[in-house]
Amino acid sequence: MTMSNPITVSLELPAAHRYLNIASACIEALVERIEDVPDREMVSYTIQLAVQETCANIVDHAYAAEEAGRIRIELALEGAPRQLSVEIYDAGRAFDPAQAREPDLENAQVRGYGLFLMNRLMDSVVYERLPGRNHWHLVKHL
Amino acid sequence: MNLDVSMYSIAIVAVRDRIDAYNAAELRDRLDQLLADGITRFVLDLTDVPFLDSAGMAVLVSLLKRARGAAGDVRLVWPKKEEAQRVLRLTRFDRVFEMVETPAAALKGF
Repeated sequence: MTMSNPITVSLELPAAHRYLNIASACIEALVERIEDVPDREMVSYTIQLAVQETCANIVDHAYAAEEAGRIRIELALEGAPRQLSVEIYDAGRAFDPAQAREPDLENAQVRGYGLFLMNRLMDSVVYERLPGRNHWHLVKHL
Repeated sequence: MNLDVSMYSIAIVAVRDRIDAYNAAELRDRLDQLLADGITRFVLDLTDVPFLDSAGMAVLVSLLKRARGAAGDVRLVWPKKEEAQRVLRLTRFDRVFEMVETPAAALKGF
C-alpha cells in the first residue's frame, strides 16, 4: 500500500447491534493488507473494539428506539505519521459528554466502560455535534 | 455407616463466540436461567472468546453481583487471545474476578 495518498474505505450500516460485526470484519481485512504493522493483531483488535463501542453507543443512545437509523463509517489509512483514522457519523440525538462518567475501576460496575475503552485504546477520540448529526473522529497510530 | 456426603452445584459455561452488544442478551438469558435454577457458583470459560466488548463485560459484572449476592461467586478462565486479555486488564476485571488458566483450576477450592 502506498502512503502517498490515503487509502479509504467506507461502509454504511443499519443502526442495529446485529450488523456491527460487519465493521469489525472490514477493519480486520483492511489492517491485514497494511504492510509492516507492528503488533498487527493487537492494533486490529484495538480499532475493532473502539469502533464497536462507538457504534453500540450510537445504537443504544443516539438512536435509542429508532429502528431506521444508519451509521456511516469511513476508514482512512494515512501516512506521515502513518495512522488509521475512523470517521463515524449518525443522525441520532446529540451525545452529552456530561453524562459520560469514568468507571470506578476499583468497584466493577455494569455500565460505563465503553467510552473509557475507546479513550484508552485509541490515540485520539474526538466528538463533535454537526448540524443534524454526530461525528466521532478516532485515530490509531500504526 | 457413617457417611458425609456433600453436593456442590457449579456451572461451567464455555463461551466460544464473540460476547458483544448483539449476543450479550442471549448469554445473559442463559445465565439468568441458571441463577433461577439455584446455581450461584459459576466458571465462565472464556478461552475461545475471540472478541469481548463492554456490553459483554456488563453481562459478566451483572452475573458476579448477583452470584455474590447469593453467597456464590464467578471465576473467569482467561481468554487465550492476548487482545481480549488486555481488555480485562485495562478495566481491572482481572482484580475483581478470580482469574484462572483452566476450568479445572477454577474448580479447586470453589
